[in-house]
Formats: sequence, structure tokens, C-alpha cells
Amino acid sequence: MPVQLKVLGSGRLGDSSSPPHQVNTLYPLYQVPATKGAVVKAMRFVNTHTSGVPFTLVQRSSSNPDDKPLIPRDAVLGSGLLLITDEELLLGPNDAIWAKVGKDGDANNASYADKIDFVLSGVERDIT
Amino acid sequence: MAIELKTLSAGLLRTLTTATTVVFQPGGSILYAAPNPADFPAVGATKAALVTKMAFFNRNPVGAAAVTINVYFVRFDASKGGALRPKRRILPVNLSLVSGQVVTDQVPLTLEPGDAILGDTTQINVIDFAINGFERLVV
Repeated sequence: MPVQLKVLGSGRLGDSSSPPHQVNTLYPLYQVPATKGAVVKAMRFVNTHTSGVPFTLVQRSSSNPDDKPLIPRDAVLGSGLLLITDEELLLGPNDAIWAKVGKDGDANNASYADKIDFVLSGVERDIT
Repeated sequence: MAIELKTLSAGLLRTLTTATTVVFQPGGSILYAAPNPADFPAVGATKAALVTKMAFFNRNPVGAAAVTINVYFVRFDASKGGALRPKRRILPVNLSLVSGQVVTDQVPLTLEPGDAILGDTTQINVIDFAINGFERLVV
């Protein structure tokens, strides 16, 4: 089965629309289908807020429940800035990338929803 | 399955950042859209694309004021008109280019059929762009 070019995910972190995601709570941005493997080629994050926004990005493996950080925990992305992670990330069936905006005890958490645009690019392939 | 290496698109940014009416079609605000007969172009094959490089060049003469650009990714959604589809930024907000400056982005960006790259600027017809990559038939 050929490799498929895919947009693995796009949207806004902490999206308050359907389905709603709470600030300061990890949720999946992308999960590999059970019958596929995937290569994440690049992830882009742009902060559209007027101030810095802390966010966290982790890999969650189906075979190991411990989160593996993909960027420093609670990294702050400055206003208007772009963060790119373009190291290839190989994922197996049901592996996932989770994210959250905000951090524990931050009084500005409520203002961080819907502020970081993201696009995940990569490929998927059937596993036989 | 055939892969076509190509310049996916090239031209000038023609949409003002402040425009209230956006022409959602290639040559308007769309810099490139992966071919999808349900959207653009209306005929032909359905293809996905991998953008390998985007370049933006400010062709203003030396001494002219800097020009800012904004570049977005837009997911295809058959249930929404083009202008209603959410725009997601893929370059820094209000990226400023001084006269003669070129900005390149060589980070891979995948597009499924109908997905598009949009751009706008504070001064039209002075920012050259070129988008390179390849297209692949989707069956």
C-alpha cells in the first residue's frame, strides 16, 4: 500500500469550539489509526496572541504510558512567533501527539485558548 | 503512482492584509491549492502535494518602506465556502521584509486535495513568491 501524503492535524491549541478543549489540559492533536504507521515530517505553531503563550507538546506511545516531551515543558512561544519542529517522528499504530496550552497556576490561563495555530504535516502508511 | 516534481506556483502577492473582500481562488488570495475537481481547478486529477520550499522576495527599490506579509494554510472543507474555511498561520505574524530581502521556508508542508496556501501583504504587487514541491495522484 502506498504512502499517503497527509495533513495529520490543523487547528488551534485549546480550541474552545467543537469539540471543546480545556486550557491547561492535555488532549490529542493527532493519533495514528490502528492499522497504520506514520511519519510526522514537520509541526508548525504560530502564536497569534498579543503576549507569550506557554504550551506543552508530548508523544504518547500505545506501548508505553509515559509521555515523552517533544519540546520543553511549558515552553513559552512569544507573540507573533513561529515554532517549527522538523525532526522526523516515526509513530506506530495508536501512538499519538498530545498538547496543551497554559500551565499550572498561571493566572492568565483563560486567555490562552484559541491563540496558537498549528499544522502537522506527514505521511501515513498501512501496516500489513 | 506518478510523482510530479514542479514549481507548484509562482507570482505576486495580490491581496491586501486589510482587504474586506477576499477573492478565494488561485491568482487571488490563494497562492497554491492542491488540485481537487470539487474546488480548484474544476476539471482534472485529484492530487496531494508536498511543499518543499516557499520563497518570498520584496522587489521594492532600496529605501522603500518595509512590507509585511502573512501566509496561511487552509484545510479543504466541502461544506464551507472558501472564505469561511479557517485560516491557520504557517509563518510568523506580520513578517516584515525590507527592500530586496528574501525569506525562504524549507520545512515540508503536506497538502491534501483542496488544501490551500493563502497570502496577503500590506503592499500588493511587490512581493514575488515561488512555491516548489511535488504533486501526487490520489486514488
